[in-house]
Amino acid sequence: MRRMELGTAGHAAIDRRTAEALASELLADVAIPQPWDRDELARRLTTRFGKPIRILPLSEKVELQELLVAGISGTIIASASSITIYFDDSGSEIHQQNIIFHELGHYLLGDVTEDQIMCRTDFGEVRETNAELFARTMVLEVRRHDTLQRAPHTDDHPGVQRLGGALADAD
Amino acid sequence: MTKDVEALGDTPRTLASQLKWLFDTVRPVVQDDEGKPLPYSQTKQRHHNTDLARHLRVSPAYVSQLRNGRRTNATADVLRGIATFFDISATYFLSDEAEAARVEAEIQYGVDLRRYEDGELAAPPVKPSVAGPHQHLGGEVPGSAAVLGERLSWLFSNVQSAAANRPYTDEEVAEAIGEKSWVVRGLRTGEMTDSDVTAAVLRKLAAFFDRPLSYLYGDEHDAQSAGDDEELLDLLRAAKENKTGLLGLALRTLESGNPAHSGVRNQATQRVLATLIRSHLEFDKELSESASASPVAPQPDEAGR
Repeated sequence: MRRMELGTAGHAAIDRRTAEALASELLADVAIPQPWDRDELARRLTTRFGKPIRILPLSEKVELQELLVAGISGTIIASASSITIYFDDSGSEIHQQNIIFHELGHYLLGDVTEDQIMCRTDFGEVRETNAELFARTMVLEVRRHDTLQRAPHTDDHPGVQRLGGALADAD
Repeated sequence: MTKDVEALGDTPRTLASQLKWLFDTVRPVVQDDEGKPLPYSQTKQRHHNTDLARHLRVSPAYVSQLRNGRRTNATADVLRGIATFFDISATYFLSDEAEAARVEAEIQYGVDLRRYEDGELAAPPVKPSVAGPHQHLGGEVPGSAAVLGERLSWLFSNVQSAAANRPYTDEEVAEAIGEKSWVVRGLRTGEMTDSDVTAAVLRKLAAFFDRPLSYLYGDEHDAQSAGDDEELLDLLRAAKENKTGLLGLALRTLESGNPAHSGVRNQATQRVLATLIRSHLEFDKELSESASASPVAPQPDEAGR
């Protein structure tokens, strides 16, 4: 798997096609576990990237209250020997997936290399927009391949659940 | 304990001189035309009498009189109000030299931290020790939620007359501090509160029991300030000394962000990140330890082909 080379300026905005290409490139190498299993995903990514990747819920390390004040929903920390992705696990599963793929996007887009850290505090930046585009594409891909997840999620609003159920039946 | 703070020089401390120091030292955060906060030293503006007066619900004239020394006998309520206005410990106004200097050192520390974050100071300030000048003699001290009466009762039962080998009486204490015994009794039993007496009475009471006034007057500010900033400060220091690239980058990433995110939010963010980075580095260490035990596969693909 290549990592995006965006030149020394580094932070050119990517378009939807690029994000999709990047996502399908990753998906060709790494099958997203169905049903969703983040530990299994971490294992597969570890094999892919050749160094240990951990995907850990933030609630293990930080009080929710502190997290809200800090305004962090996800963080990726990369050092020479491993990568850690922390994600805010207080939201719904799809939101958690979004955060994880967002942080993964930073890595694939070359925003973090060795001994670096990114955290999401500001959406205004190009890097954040790019990572978010990638994350959105990934979540869509994951859901497309997962008929189970197209069925309503327990976190969803009751109305959405009914609607989702109708669509799932239509398959 | 920082002894080298000489903010008020050799002149004796007065409420007016302390207020002057506060108004000069604790400056409002002013934003420039683009909405960025001005660096501390460029903040010419000071807090206004009228703002403080509104906060205290007194007239601006009264604040002015306190500042120019025509009024000196402010009640505990007013002093506490001034303290919350400047976000400092109320003990500042009510203490002996050493205690007041300690509070000043803390305030100066906060200012220096702000200047450091603004890039005006090259090195992060050293946090003054939070230990007071007096020794606690033992026994569990009432927490910060305890009211004045409880604190005072604790002193009466735990600090006893060595000569007579028994607790002091209200009369003895009253005589020693030059007050009426019913005032002492009223404060001890909780029938009177600190708003009913002037600060001088409380100061003398605390001094009688060889305590800093912060003991009687201990507020939340005092109780929580202790180890709170330690982790953040460690992070700042390490980043400044550039011991690890990770910490330095975390800091730079945040500083390059939206200026609206600086300040408290920024500090909270840094504290959380410090925790996360630490845990990541711990895991890294475990990895390298187990890797040195058994040879590990070479890392492919790092250069981003």
